[in-house]
Amino acid sequence: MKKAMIMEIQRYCIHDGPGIRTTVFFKGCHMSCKWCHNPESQRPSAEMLFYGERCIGCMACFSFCERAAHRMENGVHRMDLSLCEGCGRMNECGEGCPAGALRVCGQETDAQALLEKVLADRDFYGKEGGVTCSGGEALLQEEFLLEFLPLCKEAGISTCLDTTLNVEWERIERLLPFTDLFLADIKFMDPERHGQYCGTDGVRTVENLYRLSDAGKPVILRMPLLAGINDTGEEAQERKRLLERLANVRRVDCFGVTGHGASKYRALQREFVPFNQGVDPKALAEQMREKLR
Amino acid sequence: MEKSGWREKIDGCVAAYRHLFEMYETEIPESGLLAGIHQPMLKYNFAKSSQVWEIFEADNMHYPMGNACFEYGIGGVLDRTAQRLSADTQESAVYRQGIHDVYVEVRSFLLRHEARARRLSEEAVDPEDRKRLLRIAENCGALAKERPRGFVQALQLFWFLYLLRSPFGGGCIGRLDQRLYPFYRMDLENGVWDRQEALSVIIQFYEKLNRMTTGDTLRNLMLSGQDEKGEDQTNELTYLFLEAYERTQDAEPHLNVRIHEKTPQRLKEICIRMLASGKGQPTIYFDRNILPAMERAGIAREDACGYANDGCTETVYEGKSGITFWQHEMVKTVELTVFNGKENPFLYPVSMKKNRALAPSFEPHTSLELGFCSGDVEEMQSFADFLDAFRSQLDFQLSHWIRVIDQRIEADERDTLTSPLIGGTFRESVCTGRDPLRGGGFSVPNYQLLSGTVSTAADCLRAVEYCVFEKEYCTLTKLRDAMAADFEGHEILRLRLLHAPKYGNGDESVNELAALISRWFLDRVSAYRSRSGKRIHPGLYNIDFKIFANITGATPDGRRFRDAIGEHCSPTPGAAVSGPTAIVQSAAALPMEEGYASSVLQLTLDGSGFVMGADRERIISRLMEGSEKAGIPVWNLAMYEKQELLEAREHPEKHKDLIVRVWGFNARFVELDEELQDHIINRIS
Repeated sequence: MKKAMIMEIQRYCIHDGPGIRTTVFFKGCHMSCKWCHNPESQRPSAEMLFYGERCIGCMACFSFCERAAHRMENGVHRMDLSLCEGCGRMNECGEGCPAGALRVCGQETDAQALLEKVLADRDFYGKEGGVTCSGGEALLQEEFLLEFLPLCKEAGISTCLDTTLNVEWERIERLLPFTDLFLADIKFMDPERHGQYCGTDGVRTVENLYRLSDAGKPVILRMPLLAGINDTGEEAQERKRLLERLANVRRVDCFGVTGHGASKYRALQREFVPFNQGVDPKALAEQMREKLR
Repeated sequence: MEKSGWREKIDGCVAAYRHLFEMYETEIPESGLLAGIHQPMLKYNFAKSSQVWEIFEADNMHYPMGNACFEYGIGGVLDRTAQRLSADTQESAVYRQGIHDVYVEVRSFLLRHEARARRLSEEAVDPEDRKRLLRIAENCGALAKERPRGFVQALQLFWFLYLLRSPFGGGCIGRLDQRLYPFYRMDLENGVWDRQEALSVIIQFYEKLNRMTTGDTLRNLMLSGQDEKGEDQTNELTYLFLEAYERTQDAEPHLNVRIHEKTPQRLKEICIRMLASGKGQPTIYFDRNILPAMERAGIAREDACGYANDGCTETVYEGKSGITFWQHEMVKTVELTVFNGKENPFLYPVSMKKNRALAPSFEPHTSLELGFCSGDVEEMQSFADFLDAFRSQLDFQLSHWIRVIDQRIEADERDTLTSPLIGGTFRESVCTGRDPLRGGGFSVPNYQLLSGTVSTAADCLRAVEYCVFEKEYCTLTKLRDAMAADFEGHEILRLRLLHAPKYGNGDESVNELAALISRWFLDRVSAYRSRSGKRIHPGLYNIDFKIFANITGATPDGRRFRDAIGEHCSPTPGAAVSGPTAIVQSAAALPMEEGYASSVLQLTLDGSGFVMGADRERIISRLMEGSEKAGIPVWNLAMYEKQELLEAREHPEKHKDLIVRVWGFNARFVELDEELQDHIINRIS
């Protein structure tokens, strides 16, 4: 059985596809969108997060650590997270923290174990609910998905892939027979801006959207909006053109990116870049919806 | 039993009613057809306020009145109680007289409404108004003599009796769509059924309820159900009562709907639509998760199918029972286990309010028996030892409760007085003069023991198992000492306890413990039989979770003194972090169906989450389906936006219409005291 690196399994998700769903967050992403509010999803391996604001200074971790990653500075607990990389004692370390300030993100699991977790809520899925594979970029672990998704289908569970679609079409094609619905983001139509903000040009995403349309697979598009950055008139026009040519789009959800996730950046000791400060996210979404009509 | 003692009790009761009826106003409304209202007794200055308690002792108002006045009419009740019968005993002769005396007052009450309405009609200028007032006069006059003719008269009769029953303005309503159904049919057959008019009168009924008082009013209206053949009992009135609520949207009445295999889709859709507005109305009763256990407990199918709920969520058998219930304190039992029969020494008396901000404060105390030594924690070597000690403490407490209830059962078989006003609504009582408790109509004994919060108790037990015996973070002695200090200076331990697995997240280890202690409770309670063969009906429930929080010290789950305890079968507030489906999964592990007296799951969702295509009604529908399938007997779903609740705290005057679910009832959020408001805010998962 293949193993997957999973960040989290969240029950009762109502925004990751229709109905009530269980969303599996896969770890690892080949993109690095500047507004990503799950930054701990980007690196493919397990990693340690340190939520300093929860620390109560008991120093239990100091005596446990074999890599001298901890120090006290003026009564404040500081950590060098780079020293945690590859450490085989991360899970124990995290469990040992009474305050939950040390958290390991990323656990391995196999398809059968994952299926059992997903089946726990099967009486709530009905026809429209089910499982959503998200992340990170779930399609980077598509060998695992090739095992897992058919198991879900056999068990009568509806499947949804929440993906950047920014991978080789072959990976997607193999999963088509086992995927009922796709969720995809439109971040930028302009390849240069896409590269600037997300690390890749995003052309593959659009190409794959067309292919999905040809294959007749239903898609729900999401548009994370950053004021003054991807809500311009040109962006809106390009998106409108795209929407006119796609035959399979069930729905388009616009939303203004919010500042959630700042604490995670801090916990990863990475820089947090705020977007949409002072902007009403609902108004932003409404304006784009207007432009797309 | 002394004949004179019995007579005195009855006379006292009758005198109390007479006094109260005289004080109630004679209200003829300026529009609409429903006459009568009174201010709750709190606003009266009673010289003899003990009288009110005489009434309350004879009628706890937690069960629906019987149907005799609808079958016989007030006049018929008076006729049947006017003469002593040859079959009468001394007791029944006196009681019959008591019924007669009260209903003379009831008739006067109706007649003075007739007189006033007639006077007003003569003074009325507008001819439509004159007609309306005359009609009110005719209704009141007719009802003083005969059984109701048609729906409006029937609802008017119900309303008068309801008003007269309670000086507090509250009381259990019952299955009104069933009770009034024959009168709807009467109108239909006579070609005079006027749906619009009926709807207006019901709306007026609701408006009066809300005007009188809101909140913990016992005003449960139970709708729909099935008969003993399994045939659906939804009718036109069911829909009218619901439609009227969708128009008024206030706290009263508290709506409850019974759902079963043959429930029409239309009714389910209305329930879901109403639940989507977030107020926690209606509460859903799943017949298939309630009726079987009732029948297994020896309640005849025909009686079981007639169930409604009382002032809260406990089951009553309409027309066949009253109700008396007691609450065990499951979480306090954990405390007594840790302290070997004593209370946590940190405890001090707390002044609190039951639920309303504008209510008197009181100092609660535990009802558990202190002093039973279940074992010294210093000598316990394993979790099994601790669990054994808990079980013996629980057993001891249950024995105590059973003794108390047994005494009450015997008192009721001897000489407890049921209000003659109530007696007059039970056919058997009217015809035989017997008190309902002794052959006069309460044919289904309804004594109940509720468990207290098994969820929080399970959290406590699991924390002991996990932190003391699995992870060895501390010894039992250390834990006890930390609890005695309210965790002051033991922050690390407290955090560890808080992070131990908690009920409501689908964790099997906690669920199993919760199921185990529920099982012990249910088995012990169902094993009891009185000398006369009566049982005690068990429920996995508590009403007074707020009181219990204020009389239970720090507990092994990391709770401090006065921190919230969960309600019913719901998780401790803040403990469930995996969403409502995980909560249902935890509840499904409990033998809730066997707690047919009352076992409730309360779900509280974040209302602000229904964006980006999340279909509110579809999701509620799935949660409801999944919960029924999981075996939940009684289910309530409320939805709040945390932001709105917090704003309502700051600016109550702007949020008067915010309705929330408390326990067994709905209330205006701004009228609740702060502690309860906090508790509700923390429920949002």
